[in-house]
Amino acid sequence: MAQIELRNVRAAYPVIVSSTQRSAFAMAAKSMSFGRLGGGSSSHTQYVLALNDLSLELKNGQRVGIMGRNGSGKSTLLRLIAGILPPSAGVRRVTGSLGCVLAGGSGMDADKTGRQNMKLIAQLHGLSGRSLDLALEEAVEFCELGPYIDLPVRTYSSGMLGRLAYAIATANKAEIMLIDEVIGAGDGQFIHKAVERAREICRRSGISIVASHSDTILRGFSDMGIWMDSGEIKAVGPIDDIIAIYTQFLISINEI
Amino acid sequence: MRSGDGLGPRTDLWGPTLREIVKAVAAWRIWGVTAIDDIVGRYRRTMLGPLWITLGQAGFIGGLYLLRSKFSDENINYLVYLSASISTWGLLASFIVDGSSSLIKAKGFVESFPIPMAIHSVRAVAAAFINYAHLMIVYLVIVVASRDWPGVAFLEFFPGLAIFLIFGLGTVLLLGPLGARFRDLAPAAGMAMSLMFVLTPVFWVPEAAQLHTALVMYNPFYYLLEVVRAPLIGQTVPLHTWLVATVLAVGALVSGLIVYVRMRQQIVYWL
Repeated sequence: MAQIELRNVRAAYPVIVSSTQRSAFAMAAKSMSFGRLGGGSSSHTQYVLALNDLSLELKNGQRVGIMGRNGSGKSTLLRLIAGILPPSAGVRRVTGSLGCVLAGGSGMDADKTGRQNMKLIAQLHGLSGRSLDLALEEAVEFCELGPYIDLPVRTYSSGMLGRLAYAIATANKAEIMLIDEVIGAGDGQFIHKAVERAREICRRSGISIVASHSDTILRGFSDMGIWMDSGEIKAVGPIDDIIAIYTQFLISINEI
Repeated sequence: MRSGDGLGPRTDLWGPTLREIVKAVAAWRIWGVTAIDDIVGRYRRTMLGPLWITLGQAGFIGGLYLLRSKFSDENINYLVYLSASISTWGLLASFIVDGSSSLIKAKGFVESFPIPMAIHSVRAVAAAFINYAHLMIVYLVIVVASRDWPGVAFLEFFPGLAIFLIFGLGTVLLLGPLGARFRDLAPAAGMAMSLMFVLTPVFWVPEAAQLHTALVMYNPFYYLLEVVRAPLIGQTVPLHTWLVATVLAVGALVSGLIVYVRMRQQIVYWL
């Protein structure tokens, strides 16, 4: 049974910009000379609080859409739920296998073919042997990339990469699906298939979470909406209500 | 933006982090495939592929052999010594230099898939070992061609290699997180190992008197090198050398685990 519980989590990115802070030798020189050597930058590290004291509880069957301005913390939240980003504070409890589509092509090897990349990703998700072959076949059929599947991924467009990533991430029958905006690059027909797939996952007692700027995708993929801003959850409710609240907010700050 | 107000990561999560490392070591399919990719990828789209590694090694050894009067004496089969020495040094250097950049290189994977991060550390050790295997082809060819069999002492190669690999894993666990935080560590490690390549008896055979100089006696790399190299050239490893190498390997593993556990929660924020 899938379950996600976050209690008072924080994600604080240290801002390490100066060459002094990046260098082991400069840091050593500074501490050994009591601050005299090694540059004059301040000794306190600055932090960007990407998620600020956030709490969330999600159960089986919930289909969630997250919306918010750029920099509101949507991607950080997804990565934190996925376990990729450990919380700087607070508690994270996630039960259930994960399927992630979080970063278009950066997790893939550009010189390998779509099929080879899918195979590796499926192996990363723990599949092997017969179930691996079945999952691969199914994913190849689902993404409908035709002959491109056997060409190097460097020849793909971002939309194709999105299809590939989504196809293999959902093929392993994960209980929790985390999808970050990448799906926006897919065309209408693919989005329709992807939504059906996400619905199916939730029917099987799963949870799906999609972060997007597109109303169509949010409405298609979700029943429940979350609006985030500045690392905090501002509103939670039925998807149509939250989209309305968010749109109202954007109008009020003249962004649309 | 905030300024250092107690936003500290956990540095004491021993249980979960050790479990992660065990899961990582057990996930041999993943680190195996990615390690092979790392090596093969260097020579993709070249004519000879990974065979370039072996040829490069052969060329280097050939060149040094031409200068044999300067570096060795008549009692030793210098070609066998060189091929054993330089390959093994390459493995050691790789632990330290590639180990420092092991997590930086894995940034794309780390940010996309929720797999245990320690897989990338094991991957670095595995990739270094696969490279070593390519280099040792030259050693095998030379031994067979010169019919200079190492004899029964060769059996000590296996426990020696085990100690070596434990040192390697410890070093990668230690230097990976540090290399992600301090970006000048990897280049500094490269420079340091270049220097040590010359100062440690790798391509030169130490005379009896030299074995007792500080350069050899207090050089940790000498002991690590010996537990693998000596059996390969047919010499048995002295007990003293076994002990020092084992202490170094255990020390590396323990400090690697300590550093990895303390830094694990922050590494992704630094990549």
